[in-house]
Amino acid sequence: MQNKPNNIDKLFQAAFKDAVMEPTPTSWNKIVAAINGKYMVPATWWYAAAAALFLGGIGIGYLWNLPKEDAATYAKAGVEVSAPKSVQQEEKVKEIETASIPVEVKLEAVIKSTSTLAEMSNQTEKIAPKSLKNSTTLKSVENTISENVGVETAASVQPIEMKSFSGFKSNDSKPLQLDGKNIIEQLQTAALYALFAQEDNENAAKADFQQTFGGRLSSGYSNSTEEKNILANSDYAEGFGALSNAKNVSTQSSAINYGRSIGLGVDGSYPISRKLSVRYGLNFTRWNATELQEVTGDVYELDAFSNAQILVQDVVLATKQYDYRVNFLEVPLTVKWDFLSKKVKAFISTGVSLSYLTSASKIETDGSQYVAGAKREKVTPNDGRMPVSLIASTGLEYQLAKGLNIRFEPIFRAQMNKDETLSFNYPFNSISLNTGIYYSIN
Amino acid sequence: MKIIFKKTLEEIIEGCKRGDRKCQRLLYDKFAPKMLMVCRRYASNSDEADDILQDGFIRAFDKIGQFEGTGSFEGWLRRLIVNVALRHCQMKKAVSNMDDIDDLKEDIEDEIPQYEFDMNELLQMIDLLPPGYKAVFNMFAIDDFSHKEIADMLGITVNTSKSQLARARGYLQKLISEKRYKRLEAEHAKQAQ
Repeated sequence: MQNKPNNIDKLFQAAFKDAVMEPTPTSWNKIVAAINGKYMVPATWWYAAAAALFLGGIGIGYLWNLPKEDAATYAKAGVEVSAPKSVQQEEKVKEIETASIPVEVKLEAVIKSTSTLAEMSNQTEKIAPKSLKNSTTLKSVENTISENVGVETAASVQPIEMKSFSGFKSNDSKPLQLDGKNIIEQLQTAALYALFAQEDNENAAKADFQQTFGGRLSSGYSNSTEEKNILANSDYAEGFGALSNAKNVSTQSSAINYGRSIGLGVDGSYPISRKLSVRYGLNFTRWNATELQEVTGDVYELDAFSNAQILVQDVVLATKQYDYRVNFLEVPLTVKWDFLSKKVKAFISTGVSLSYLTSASKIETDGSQYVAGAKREKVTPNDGRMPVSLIASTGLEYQLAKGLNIRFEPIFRAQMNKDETLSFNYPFNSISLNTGIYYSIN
Repeated sequence: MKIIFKKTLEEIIEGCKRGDRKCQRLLYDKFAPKMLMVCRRYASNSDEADDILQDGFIRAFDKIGQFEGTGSFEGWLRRLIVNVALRHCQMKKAVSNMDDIDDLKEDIEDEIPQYEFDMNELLQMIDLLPPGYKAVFNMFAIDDFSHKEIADMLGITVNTSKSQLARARGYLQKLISEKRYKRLEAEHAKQAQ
């Protein structure tokens, strides 16, 4: 019996089915304000926060990586060297000291770029008067008001029908009482409309103004090779045994070849505007690298005919190879600019990444397999160093389902603050491909 | 100078899908008065109704991309506004806290009420309903939701929806009778004078 309307239902249905109530005049303004509030996060705050984090990250990385002037860094470089500091080493330290200058230049550049960002937050205010001035909507409203106010003066008793509010009333809209109050409110609406008229032109999908969270898998490749002389102009190279026929062992060098990496992580983004968002994340990455250490020197050989000693220079006297595993955590902080479209979205992203080494180890190999009896040993390349890298990426996002996107993103990385005294630098210059599933939240 | 817009509803909806503020305003002008009355029936006062209307339109502009144009737009919007109203007034919670009655009997007078009631009087009666009754009655009797739809939207069983509706009708019947009695009393007093 309850499944069909009875007379009580009919009584109420007849009264309310097509009943209307006039909304308060400020209702639309509140909706507009709420929409703009929702889709335009107060920019100043976010620019300030992003700039602070950006500068903070660089600053921390820079301070933590101030070059050390003593030989202690050598001792921690993974290769035990007991030779006294040579002239070349001292020159190297000087080079490192002077190498901090470009970092400062970069800091200045960052400050400049962030002040440009901060200026952007004032653009709305700059745009507003121009928009209002040039707004055809506002002109239309002004014309309409001037005409209708004139009519009202002539016939002040009758309410005046104002269908000509361009953009505000449909042709079947109800007459609007021109009682002064409404005019002001309509003007406010016109001002609001003019303020955001430029956004209307963009007509960006609101779905693009969302926070995202997701997990990602990355696979990287680097052809970076770190080559350095770890001992020079010495007659002694520890760890390579007796070099009976060697004279003037000139160089003990190391070349680390960074190969492939694999990483897992999470990252998220917070929107600043419809297109611009701040991205943050935490990634765990493992890089594999190989190191070739060589001792070269000058050797006297006996001439078979004359039996005289002949000096042969730069002969490789001994080699050692190591297989490295370098594990580190990364905290990337970037800004992302979306190119809006519906199903597929392209974007570019740039920023910095702060890294922290969690562990590193090496084991001696003969080039293809571990040397018999070799044990993996821990490598401590630094004293809590946190390198900073500049990262830039471009990528594509494909919407799998509503709120669910898959992302493909090649990332280019350039390490900002290399320390040439270390046996290896991380995370080095590299390219990696990130792919991940991201969830969007309204 | 009079500029008259001649946009069809389809054009307005398409404009809203693109985020066009002008079209949003046109849509608001067209449907806000009717939807405000919907909100008012679920709300306890006009201010609350206004809040629901604003939330409803913000949500509608956000979700309008999901409207595929197959059914009535007004029906889609009404459904969305009702959902916002239910959430705003915490009616889902109110209804779920109520028991359904298995042995409920429909003992309501099946006659058209003798007296005309104006809309304000009827609105006052709706306002007097407990939130659970109010939600189900509004949805079934006025907004044309089926018991199945009501059950889905409120997270209750179909039986609970039916029992809430029966109770609401009984409550309203009682209020109508009281009003009728008071009117008769007033008429008699007038005649006695």
